[in-house]
Amino acid sequence: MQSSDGKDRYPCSCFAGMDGGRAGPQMVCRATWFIQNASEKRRGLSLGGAAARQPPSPNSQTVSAGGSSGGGAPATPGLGSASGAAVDQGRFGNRRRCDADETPESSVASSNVSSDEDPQDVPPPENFQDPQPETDDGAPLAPIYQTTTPTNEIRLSVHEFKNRATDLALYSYTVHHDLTRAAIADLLNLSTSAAKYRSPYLMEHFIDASVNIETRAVDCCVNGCLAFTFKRAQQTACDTCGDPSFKSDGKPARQVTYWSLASWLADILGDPVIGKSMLENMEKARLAADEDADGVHDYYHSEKFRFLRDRGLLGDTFVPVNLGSDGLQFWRQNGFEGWPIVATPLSLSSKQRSNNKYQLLLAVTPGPKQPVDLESFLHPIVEELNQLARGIPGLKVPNLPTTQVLRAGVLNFTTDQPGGDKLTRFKGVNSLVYNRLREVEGV
Amino acid sequence: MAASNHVYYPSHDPTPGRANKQLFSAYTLATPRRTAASIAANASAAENSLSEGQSVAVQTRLQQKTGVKGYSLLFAPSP
Repeated sequence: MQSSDGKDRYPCSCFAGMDGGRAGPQMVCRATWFIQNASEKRRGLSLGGAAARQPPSPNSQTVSAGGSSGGGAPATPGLGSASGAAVDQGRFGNRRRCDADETPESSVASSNVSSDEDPQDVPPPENFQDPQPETDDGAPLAPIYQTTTPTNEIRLSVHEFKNRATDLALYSYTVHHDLTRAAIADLLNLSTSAAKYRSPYLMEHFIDASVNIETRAVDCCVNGCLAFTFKRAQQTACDTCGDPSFKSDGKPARQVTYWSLASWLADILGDPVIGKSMLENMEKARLAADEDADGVHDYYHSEKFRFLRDRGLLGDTFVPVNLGSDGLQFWRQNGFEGWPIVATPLSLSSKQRSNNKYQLLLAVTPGPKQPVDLESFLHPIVEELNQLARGIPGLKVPNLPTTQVLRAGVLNFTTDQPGGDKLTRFKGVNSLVYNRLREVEGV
Repeated sequence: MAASNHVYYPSHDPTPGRANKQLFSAYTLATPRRTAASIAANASAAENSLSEGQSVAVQTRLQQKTGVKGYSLLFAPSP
């Protein structure tokens, strides 16, 4: 700030005072300085952040150094404080423009500045402190339980699981919404997709390699009539259609895949949360079976369950199982039909056991029509059930110190009436005794 | 009824010579239950008729009368 002619003169570095940038800052009176700088500030606000993102004017820096580049007159010592105040106001004004531009809603900021209030009365921005990092409460993290037994398990380590979390989430999304293969391909091709495997083929291979599910293949008729099990194990041709059971190169003509029930149950019991709840539910079921209930509320009130309890077969890791099967047409147009055989562990809670993820698929008949001898497809499952009834040792259950013996038994077999007749080899509606449980005669 | 192959399950037998015999009652459940032994016996009879080479008509009539076509893995496992 300079004093000339007995009046205070201030260097104005506004756009109008510098003649549109073609001249240096002019010395103006105090009132003019305020008017021009106020209008300059409003212009900067109305223009948005463009002016604010520009570097500070070198003139203001020159002024802040205590000299004037345009006037050339040295600053008087007596006005040092006033001059410093003016320069600070200019610098503060520039900074205030930046503060206003950082305001999220520019319309609100403009309305405030356009009022008659002193621009210096704008409240300073709040000081936002960096959020403090979350303090550790000192509790040790729970260890991640990973079994080493060769059962149905996820092969991914924890580190790999973290790296492939997006792929797994995308795959779960596509399954949950039943997306077509073309839709999955388009979804993976999006530039915003963070998946590492960018095609359905690679995604399915990744999922197959990530999960180890114990399976076994059993020979069956090439037309899906029957499975070569039990007494048919040595046959070389189908009883019904006569087609050979082997190809010319000696390989089986067709095979049906079976998923191991023991591995399914070991996998569920190995889960630290689900396995624990199953053991607790089994303990409650044993207690409930001892009580006299008014009617049948659940499986533990059935005669079969009490029969097993009286024989002492209900150990800690016994899993009561419900089997079910029914015909299913995969494609209605060509009538391709399969019979899935599904096991449901009953020791889960009544709400959980009805979820799809707990319907343990054991086998699906190969089709294309319903099998002539459906019972032949049950033999591998019944053999495994016999093993489970005797007990399979070496089961690792979380929260139990020693290995356990896995046992399971079938309490129910759920079908509809025609399916049940087919499975149990009953005559059905063409017989005089239709009921499977009572000898109700027809005429 | 006798003119067709359909089977009906009325509560009382409409045949004149059978004295209106009660066939079914939902209240008393007086009809005997099938047991494992009775089902196994019916299955054995059906399998024997097949193995003895009896005619298809005899086998079908036996199956219609007992309601069991043969050994079953679940109800009447083979010995």
